[in-house]
Amino acid sequence: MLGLVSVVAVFGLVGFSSFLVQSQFRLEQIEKQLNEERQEFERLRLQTAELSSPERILKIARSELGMVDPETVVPLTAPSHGEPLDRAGQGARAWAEVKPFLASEP
Amino acid sequence: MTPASVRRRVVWFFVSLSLAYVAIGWRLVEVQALSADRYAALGRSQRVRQVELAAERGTIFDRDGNELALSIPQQTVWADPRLVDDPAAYARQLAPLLAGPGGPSERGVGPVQQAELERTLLERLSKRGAGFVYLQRKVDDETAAKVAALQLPGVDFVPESKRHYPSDLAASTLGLVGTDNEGLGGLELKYEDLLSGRPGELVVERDPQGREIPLGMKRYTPPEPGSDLVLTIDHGIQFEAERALKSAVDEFGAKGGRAVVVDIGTGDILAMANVTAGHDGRPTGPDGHEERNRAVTDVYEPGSTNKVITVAGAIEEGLVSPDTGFVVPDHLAVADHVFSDHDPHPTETYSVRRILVESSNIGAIMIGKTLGKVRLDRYLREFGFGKETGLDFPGEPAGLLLDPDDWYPTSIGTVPIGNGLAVTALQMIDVYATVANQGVLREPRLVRATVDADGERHDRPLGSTRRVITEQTAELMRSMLIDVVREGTGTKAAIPGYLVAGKTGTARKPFENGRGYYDDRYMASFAGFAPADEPRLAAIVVIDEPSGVYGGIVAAPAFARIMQHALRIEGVPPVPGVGVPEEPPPAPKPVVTGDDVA
Repeated sequence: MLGLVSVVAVFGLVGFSSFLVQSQFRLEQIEKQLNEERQEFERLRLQTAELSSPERILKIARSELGMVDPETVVPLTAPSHGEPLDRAGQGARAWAEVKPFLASEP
Repeated sequence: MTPASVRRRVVWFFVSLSLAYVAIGWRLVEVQALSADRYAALGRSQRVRQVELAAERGTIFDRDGNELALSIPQQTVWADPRLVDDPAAYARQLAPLLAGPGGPSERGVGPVQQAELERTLLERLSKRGAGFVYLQRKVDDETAAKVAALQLPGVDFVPESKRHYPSDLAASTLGLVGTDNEGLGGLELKYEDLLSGRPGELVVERDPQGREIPLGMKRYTPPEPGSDLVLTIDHGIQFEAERALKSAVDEFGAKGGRAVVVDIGTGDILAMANVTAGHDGRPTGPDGHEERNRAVTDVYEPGSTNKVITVAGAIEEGLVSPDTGFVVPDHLAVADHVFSDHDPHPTETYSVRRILVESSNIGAIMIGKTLGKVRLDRYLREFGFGKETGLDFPGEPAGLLLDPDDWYPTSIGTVPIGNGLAVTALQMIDVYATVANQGVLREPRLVRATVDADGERHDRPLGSTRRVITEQTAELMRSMLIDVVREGTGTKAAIPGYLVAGKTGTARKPFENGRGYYDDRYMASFAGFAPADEPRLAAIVVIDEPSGVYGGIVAAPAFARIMQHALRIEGVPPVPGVGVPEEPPPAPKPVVTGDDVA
């Protein structure tokens, strides 16, 4: 009886150990994937910023859309001034929401 | 074989066996007991990797959340030389990859450079005593993937942040960082403590292939990212300021230029541009990250833009009003120097208003004499000259302002018209913002808020204020500065749809070493604000050594262009019929007849 219990215990330990090792590898895979996604997010963030550069937009407006700088600017008065501009920095606010989740682990 | 021989051989065999057992036993004792700690430590050092994790440097945003500077993680390739069997083979395989994204041919790296890199790598990989050597820092993703594909034991990666400036706007204001992401200049240096964050640490057991050992030791302390800065800069206004400045520098063959745009109510700096003319094969363009933010760090003699202080001081003291008349000749001797107006004219009575509108040097000197050097000096200091603006920007000077006791005999002639003292562009625009702000000086601000590691935003307070002149004096100054643009030397600063107030300035440049001035080198400037009836923005444009000489010709048009764009972005509506001169203004003659011209 004792021998049977010992055998079962040994097999149980081996199985548990194997499960732990597999879980460890899986965890590592998930962490790696998470880091890759975080890095992809950062890369896209940089790309968005580069694409939004006024210099780039001006270049495309001139070379691809054939736009030119006006000789004179004629002011047109709208009937109402509308709502005041929101200068609270929406972009920075949106970034602030995701920032705490971006600390990456190698 | 004799029995004696057999016996001898058996004895020798057992003796040898015993010696072997003794040797093995001794070795066992040495490994397991005497040197156990050393071997355990050696094993740990081969398995356990302790890596400092650099904190991600904070982002720098403009006021609307557009990224001006941000860091993204990139891989740094490193090696543990103790695990490298053949350093030469490693160096041979790695050199072509680490020379550039696509190898030497794509990056134009020749065989000489590649051989040099290979030697460097070999040297590093051969450091047997070291457990960590850099092979290449912050490589691009493609290179990192190629190195990883080699599967070289002992070669590993660690992520490091790399700084990017996606639009390259306001480069000299932002400054730059070094290889270790430490701030070296500009705002990157000034806010180093906030931006840099706190590094983390990873202690982990890995196998020779760099894989984590299951159930091994692992201790992870995450890095704390740096705080973000939300600047007061508007990237649209900044872009236009840089463009307008570049056009002016090119058009007038100038050496360079500076421009600052300030929100009068808050003291927020919306744009701060510095441009240098093309040289050494480099085209005219905004100053780079490694260059000084000249609008804050470099002083110049302001010339006639300084007359606003002379006149404001005299009005504030009750000595003159805009209608007070002075009999003004076109030449005036002060001590051993004869000052003159920019255009010859008969001796006639000029009102204070006309003195300012036509930028009469002689008239301004007479007002300065009426005010006296002690009071004039006091107003110069009250308006912020002779000390830093409060922005606390790295390298910001106090400016050059002599103590009245140290004035030269000619100083009462030079100082009222903006010579014999030196200020930064930021100091001078503060003067005009003060007049526009009903006589209250507000310290400028460049950082609007910070965002900490938890994403929490902390708004920064506005700059402190102090009253410099009364509301009544400011109002009188404002009305005279409107006339400068409406009918005086600053007509080219007019903007259709807006009432503009401001003042031109042109001053000869002093010699770099020693007393005296160049005959043919000038600083031309225009400082003003708009809409003058309800001031929102103040701006200054300073052009260094233009061929056109006059601030009214060289700097005023650039001011108008920048201000018009800024007012539109600020959502300030134009008023039809306002700000358009009824007839084209006569162009000032580009002839210099005196020391200082309007």
